[in-house]
Amino acid sequence: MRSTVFGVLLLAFTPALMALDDAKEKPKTPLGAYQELAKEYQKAMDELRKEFQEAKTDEAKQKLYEKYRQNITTSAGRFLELAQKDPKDAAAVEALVWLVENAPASPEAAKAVDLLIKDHLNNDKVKALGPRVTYLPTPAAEKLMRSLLDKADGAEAQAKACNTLAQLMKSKSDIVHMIKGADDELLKQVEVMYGKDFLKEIKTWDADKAAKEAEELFERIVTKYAEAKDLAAKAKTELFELRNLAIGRTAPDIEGEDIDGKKFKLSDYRGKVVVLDFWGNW
Amino acid sequence: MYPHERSLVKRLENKPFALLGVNSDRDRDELKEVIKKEQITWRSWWDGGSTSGPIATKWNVTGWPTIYVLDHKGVIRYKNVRGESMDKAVDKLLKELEEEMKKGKQ
Repeated sequence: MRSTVFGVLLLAFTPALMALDDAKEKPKTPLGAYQELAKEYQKAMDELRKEFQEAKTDEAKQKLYEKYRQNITTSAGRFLELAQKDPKDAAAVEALVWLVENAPASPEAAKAVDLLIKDHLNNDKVKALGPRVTYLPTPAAEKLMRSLLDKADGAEAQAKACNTLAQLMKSKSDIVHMIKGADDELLKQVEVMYGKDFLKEIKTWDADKAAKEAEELFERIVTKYAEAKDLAAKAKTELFELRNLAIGRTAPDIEGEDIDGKKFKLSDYRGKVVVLDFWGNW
Repeated sequence: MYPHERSLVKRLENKPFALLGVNSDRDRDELKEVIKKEQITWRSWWDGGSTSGPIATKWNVTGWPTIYVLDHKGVIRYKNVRGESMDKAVDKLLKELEEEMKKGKQ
């Protein structure tokens, strides 16, 4: 079951490289070189994903996690090398953004973030990165979003960065809880997928502190960036979750009808241990 | 998911435990068929026929399934535990409840 959870994680890595198919092959330009690298990476990942779906044993899956990480590590080095050739070029922006999105736990991504902050903070591609980095809270993603929140041009970009940073903080808090309750097998899987250093890093995080900062950041969206209506509405729901649905809080009551139209309440089950399962048969 | 939940419910049928669902299906009649076919014995709220029903929206659910485990006092103790870890979490809370009841009797 556990491997399924991570399997889902593995399947969820679908970087935004869809447009690459129409790209003309011009390997001699930096942009062409970037596209070739990205294509190669994508191809390897597609194959891995396929192998993962067909893998039957845990050992086989474990090997695939290792291959998955190897592909990321090797590619990260290549993308950074490409970006460093001419850090101000448009191809560099692509390569650096790629690193933050696809290999955020790598040392290369930390370097990429520094380069992006230095030369490209207000590039549209950097500003649009937000939703694609929230799947894994890494120091790299966090640093970039903090910079955007402080220095991005325009309230809209700042509001978006504020939202992304809040999401990162929320997931940071969740991951700490997850790792605390994890057995050796799960810890090993995290280590294989993201590296020893990242696991060490997680162990230094403070769940309550991260949750508190998430709350402050969502609050800031509601008060300071109210003109970003969708984000503000979403922030209010997030605030409700952080304040009322966190581990240790009493669950709010649920009142409604069952499938046959009969009314019942969650509080009817006080005195019992309850698993509440949001499900659907679709 | 269903076989695992079925065995959990079966195993704990004489314990102070309940599995409750919040269902986001579109068609109530189709759902009734599934419940019959899959022998789903646990109760679910009908969340208005979509994934953005009132309960899921209030609870900020964006991924399915989302799991909360509550203790006997209604306090949220675990989130998104699955499979074996879900069983372990439930067993731990049941043990806590048993111990508390023992103490109460003394």
